[in-house]
Amino acid sequence: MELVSAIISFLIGYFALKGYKASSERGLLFLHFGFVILGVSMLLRVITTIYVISIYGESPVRPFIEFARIVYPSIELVAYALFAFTYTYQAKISNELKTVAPAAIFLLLYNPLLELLAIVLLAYVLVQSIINSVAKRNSGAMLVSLGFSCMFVGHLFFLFSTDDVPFLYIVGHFINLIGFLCLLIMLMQVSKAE
Amino acid sequence: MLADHVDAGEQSRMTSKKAYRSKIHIYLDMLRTIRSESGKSGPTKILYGANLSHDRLTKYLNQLIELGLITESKEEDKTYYLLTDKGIDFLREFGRIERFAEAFGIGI
Repeated sequence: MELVSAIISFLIGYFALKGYKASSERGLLFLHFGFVILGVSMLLRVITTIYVISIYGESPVRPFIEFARIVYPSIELVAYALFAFTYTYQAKISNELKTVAPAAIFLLLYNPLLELLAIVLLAYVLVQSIINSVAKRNSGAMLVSLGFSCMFVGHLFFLFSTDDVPFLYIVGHFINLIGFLCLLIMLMQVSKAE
Repeated sequence: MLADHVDAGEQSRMTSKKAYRSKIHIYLDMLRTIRSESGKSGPTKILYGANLSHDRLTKYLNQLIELGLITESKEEDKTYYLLTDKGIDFLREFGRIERFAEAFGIGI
């Protein structure tokens, strides 16, 4: 599931770069870096998971798991921060709703849990994408807000998943995948349009 | 790329983002005006469509010709500007980019 999400993430990153090259709009450059970093994070996690499974029982896997638990969510955070920055950078989004940003930063400073930080950043991105969706009222904007909604809910599932309820982690990834599929549909719609 | 065509000196003079964007939009307005005239338009229609002065129109038309997005043709002492295949592709591609950016709330 995560491999598919990573591929979609790279596709969106590529399209954003193409847009940046044509228009020189920096928002698209931030979006490009955000999705590429997110894709790299997911791809690395897939590779690590495959590697850990392959060496399981032969070598100690604990260091790899500890590494993965810190590094990959941190990389993801950078990507989400870039998405949040993209929306903050956009002067066209209504100014009064930008007050959500300081609140997000406040929470960022006081909560040490990486997953929670990702949720806070995604919440900000989600709010901005919903505002855009309401303002634009087109299917592309709706799909983007739906995509970010799924990523947000997916991270909520990750947050509450424990060793006792591991299925929440799987459900979280599934919802995350649905989010990326929404973004893929948006990309296909845009690509097909004349 | 269209954005690359704006020389460095001109970019540095365009300190505000809005001014730079408007230049891109002037190109688009000109190309879209020609497209709205079935891909072939006289200079006056382009001038009004893109809301330009005569001097700026000449300058931008030359730039678009250099980029290969339009060609000039003369028929019975009248000058026409035609969208090239590259120009049609560019408008189509830019429209896609605009829709993509709009979906993320990015105005270009």
